[in-house]
Amino acid sequence: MFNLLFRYLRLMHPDMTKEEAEHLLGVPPGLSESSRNWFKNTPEHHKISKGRLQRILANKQWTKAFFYRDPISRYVSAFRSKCDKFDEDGFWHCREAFLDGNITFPKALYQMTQPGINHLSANPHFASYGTFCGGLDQTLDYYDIVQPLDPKTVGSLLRTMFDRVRVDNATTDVLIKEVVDSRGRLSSDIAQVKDRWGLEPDFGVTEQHNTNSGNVFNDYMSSPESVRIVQDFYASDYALFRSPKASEENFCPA
Amino acid sequence: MLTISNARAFRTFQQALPTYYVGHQPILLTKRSFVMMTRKSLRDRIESHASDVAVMRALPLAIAIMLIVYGNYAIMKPTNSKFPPHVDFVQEPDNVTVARTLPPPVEYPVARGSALDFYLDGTWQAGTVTSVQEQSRTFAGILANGTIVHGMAHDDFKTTWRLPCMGNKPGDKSLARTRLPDGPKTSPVPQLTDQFLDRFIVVPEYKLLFCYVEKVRAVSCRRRLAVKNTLTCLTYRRDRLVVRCSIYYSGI
Repeated sequence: MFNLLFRYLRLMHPDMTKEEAEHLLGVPPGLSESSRNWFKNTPEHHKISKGRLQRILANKQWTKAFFYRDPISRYVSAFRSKCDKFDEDGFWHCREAFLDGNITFPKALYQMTQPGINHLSANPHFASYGTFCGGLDQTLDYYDIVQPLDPKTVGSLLRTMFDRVRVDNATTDVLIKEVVDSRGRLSSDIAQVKDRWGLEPDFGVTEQHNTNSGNVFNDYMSSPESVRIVQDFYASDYALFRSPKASEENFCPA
Repeated sequence: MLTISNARAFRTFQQALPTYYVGHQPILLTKRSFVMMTRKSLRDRIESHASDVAVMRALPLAIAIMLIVYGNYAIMKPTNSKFPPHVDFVQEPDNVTVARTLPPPVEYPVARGSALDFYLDGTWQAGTVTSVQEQSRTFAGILANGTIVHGMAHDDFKTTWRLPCMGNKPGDKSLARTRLPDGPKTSPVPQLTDQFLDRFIVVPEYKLLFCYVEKVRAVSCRRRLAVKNTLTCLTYRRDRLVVRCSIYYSGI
């Protein structure tokens, strides 16, 4: 969602160049899905070094934002996506995380109880939040916006973020409408972008990575023991967000 | 806003003040410090610790000295928040100590002829800034009263101060104070690891840096947990405790 969201945000900026727009729009056609969809706005693309990233984090003229999701919910989504073959590329991610691309959910949980297990942290779908973006566990205080994402509040969260960086209201309204109306699955069909650039976005399939894991959450987390294992494994994330652990009494909705 | 132009008077004032404590907090400054605090916050402070005899004794003395020595003293706007003192360097280094009374002093480099921009945060009542490398270079003492408001957005309450470090000799124009208009531009620079740096999404047009994490999108159960007490989510299935949230879901 955010990948597309920020691409559209840039594409709708008045100073956007044609060359950069083509890059963001995923042209020329025929690129792999990965090339079309991902890593369009990385520091590397913008030629921003680690040192400059550090200075940006400290620079109060920049807005730093980070949204998170309950670690258990995120884990279930990742497992469903990668180890239950919901996604085409799942096998490879699953194998990287659990050293077994066909691992079952109980066996994966068992692995997570073993001391010293660290291969999960190698894969971004299973790594803890604290390891992201150069170590959120050490840098979270530098962020201006740190909020849990919620279907009910995503619109207001995005508006808060966009207002802070002075995105004009029209652009904000369009993007929020897209996000909210599509329940987080941005379409690749924003008319303003098409009209302005005269290019058809070629993002490939963009909804595959939505697993709707909320609908099957209870099938995975069917026992308190399962919950406890995942909670313990991601205990550092709960501590990072000062967030109470979910318990069997306050699960996510099915 | 206070401008101190008379270094000698300032030093006299410094030496006249002993240190007092309220509980574990220093309420007045050390001898080499200068106190400015709002009358109200000081009064509140005193009233909240009325049993502290030392403070009660110190209050009239401190106020009297402030009024006598500095007829033109001003009330500083309190600063607050939760982080330790921040120092941003205008130029390259010598050493200046930005000290808090309770935590160990921390040295920050400041160049001669430059200025030290800083703000004071945390649960403190007073602070000092003194030169530690060249005693002959009189450097400004600082003080500000910190009225702590826990849990408030710190950015809105920070006040940045600038201390010019101008002279090499006592009596030079080394005591000046300027409140900067826009607050600090930067914080101390963090150290990033190499992990997942490509998960930063940079939007330079809006000066926005977003940290993206896989599997995070607009789905979370946090909000719904808030109403868990109003609905029954638990049931049993095949002798196992499971969560059945369909009722929960449709009830919202």
